[in-house]
Amino acid sequence: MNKIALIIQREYITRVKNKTFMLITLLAPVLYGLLVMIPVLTAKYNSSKNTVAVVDESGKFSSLNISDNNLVMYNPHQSMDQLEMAYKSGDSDFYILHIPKDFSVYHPTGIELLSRKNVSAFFKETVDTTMEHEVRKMRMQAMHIPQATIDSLHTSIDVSVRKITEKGVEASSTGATTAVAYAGGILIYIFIFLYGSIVMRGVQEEKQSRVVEIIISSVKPFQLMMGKIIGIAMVGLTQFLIWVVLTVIFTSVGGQAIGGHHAAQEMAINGSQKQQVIQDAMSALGTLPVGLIVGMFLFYFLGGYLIYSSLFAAASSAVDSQAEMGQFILPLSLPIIVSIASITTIVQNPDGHFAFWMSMIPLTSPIVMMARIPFGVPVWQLILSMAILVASFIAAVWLAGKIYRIGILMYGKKITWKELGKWLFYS
Amino acid sequence: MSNIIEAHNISKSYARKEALKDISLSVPAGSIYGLLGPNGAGKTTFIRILTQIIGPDTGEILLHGKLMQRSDIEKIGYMPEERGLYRKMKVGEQVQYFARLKGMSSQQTDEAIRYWFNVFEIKDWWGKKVEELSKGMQQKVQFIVTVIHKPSLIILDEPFSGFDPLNAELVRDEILKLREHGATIILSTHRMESVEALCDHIALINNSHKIVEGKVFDIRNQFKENMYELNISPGQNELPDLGTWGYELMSIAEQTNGSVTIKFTATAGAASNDILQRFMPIGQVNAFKEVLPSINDVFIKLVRGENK
Repeated sequence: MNKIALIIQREYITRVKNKTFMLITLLAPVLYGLLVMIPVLTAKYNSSKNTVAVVDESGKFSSLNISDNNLVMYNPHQSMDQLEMAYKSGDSDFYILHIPKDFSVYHPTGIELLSRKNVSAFFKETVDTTMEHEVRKMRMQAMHIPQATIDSLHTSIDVSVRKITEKGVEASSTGATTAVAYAGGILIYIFIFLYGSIVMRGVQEEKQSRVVEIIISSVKPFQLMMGKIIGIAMVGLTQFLIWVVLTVIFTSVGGQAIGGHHAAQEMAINGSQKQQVIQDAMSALGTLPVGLIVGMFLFYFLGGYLIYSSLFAAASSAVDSQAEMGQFILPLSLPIIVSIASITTIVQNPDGHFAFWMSMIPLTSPIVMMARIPFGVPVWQLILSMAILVASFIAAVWLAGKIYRIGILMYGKKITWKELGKWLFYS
Repeated sequence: MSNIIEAHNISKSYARKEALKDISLSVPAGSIYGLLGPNGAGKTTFIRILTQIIGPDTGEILLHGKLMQRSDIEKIGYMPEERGLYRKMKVGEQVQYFARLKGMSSQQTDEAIRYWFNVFEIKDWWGKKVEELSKGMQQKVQFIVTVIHKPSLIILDEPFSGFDPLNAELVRDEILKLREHGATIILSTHRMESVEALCDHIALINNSHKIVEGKVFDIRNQFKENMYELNISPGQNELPDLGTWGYELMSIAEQTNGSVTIKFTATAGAASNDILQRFMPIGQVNAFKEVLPSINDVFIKLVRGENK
């Protein structure tokens, strides 16, 4: 049996047989499922309402009385002083909206929101909008526009997005596309970091336990490094495959249970309108190039992983302990952090210059390209990006091999970047 | 006896240090060869070149008279000074893995493992993780890993460090047994006294270069200094002042039975029979022998001479 295959086998089997691996692999989809359900559950059971006592000294908002899901506005029929007393003395948990005596509908200034704690930007905006709405209504009433006309002005529009393809016009969902873009980018990010750091620890383990000298008296350092990197990549692919299967099972079984229950409730309230929305989203998801996305995911995971894990392996080989890795880890992982931080910008403008260049630079392309693909990327760009990535990981592996073979035998010396540079030129 | 290894003019430098300076060595096949010298002399670098972990800057290594190839590393078993095993891996699987890396088939591996686990009486350890073993036990596993593929050349760096006396004896016996079966063994150590008795040939390395090489006996003989040790029962007679004979007294010790042991250096070129004859009239000579310098003495002498 080929020696590199033996190394791959060992790296793979010892990790896959590990109990922690099994546990994480099996628990991850459950955690993922919980993660998805948390927003749903919190929205449903989180009944904390913000209560605002409106002290209207101008007398213009006497009829103001709002009560919806998360905002209650009412007239407490108390003066400002009385309320403040109650505030100071007790454990009252409400806001006070103070409308001054001289408040004018045409110069709407001087309204104050008082609170014991700091007010969140989100809540302030809710109050702002509510008041704007009220003032607008008053101005229209002042123009003697009938209530019915005012009501009829209130509209809500949701543009339906369609995509023109060779097959004709298909349904599309911006929401679904954006979600897939985020998910793809973030998954690549997690995978590269997760498995890159496993490689790093593996190299360090062999160096610290000194087993490395015995192995490289049997195989070349490069074979050892590549065997490790490939073996761990296969662990990653195995885990990914298991997760895909488990996620499909979990969401379809779980989705049916929750969906069925949900649907019955919704049906009673407002008919089949909401179901229609869900159905639209699902069919839009179906129009996404799922095959391409999965294929590209595997490609960019492997490409990005090969680059980063070989660089991590090289850095890890040069130091004596995990603690000393710091000086190399930060600069090495900076590009990957930049790409995950810019993912929102990319998703907002997936065809912009920034997105284009970020998806060409090999250190950022795996994450950025995954975020672009769901929106559609010209074929030439895809091919160029892939070619650059392949060339770069070959270069990275070569570079790493040069550093690794010196580093793993070097003990008790603080290694600098300059030193690493010199190693590249050793015979 | 032909040579299994011939190293010609090996030099190796690291960034700031010359590790080996033009070293040439010949290791006779079937011998136990000691590579001796203080820490930092260059022994480990030389071994790493032999095991092809690193390459020399200049020079070449011949194995059985032919330039050493990459595939030749399967004929070498190497136990580094810094021992190492995968701590979380089971003993059996570990030995299997290393044997396979040396090119053994899985069937050969199983047979060899059975043999060695028997020899070292560690049959119950198969499923144990290395981290559960004591240091001495780990050393046994390490030794098995080194020799399991029946290498014709075995290189042991500081072989006895870490073993208790009993296990050191066991390893010593196994080394001798391996030689009987035709293997050549290179022992590298800075504790010269520990291998002197075991080695047929040695090379002394100091400060990156070889200072002497040859058969142990020849070297000691070559550096002898006319030193003798004599035990005599002088009775009523007084011991003479050795200075008048031109000898130099090194030490004198009275034994419990009344005899006296003296150590002295005779004049250069004096024959041992003549020396003995001078002592015979003084009393009963119980023992008389020429004292050859130990390898350690030779080394110190050579290094001092060099530094002057």
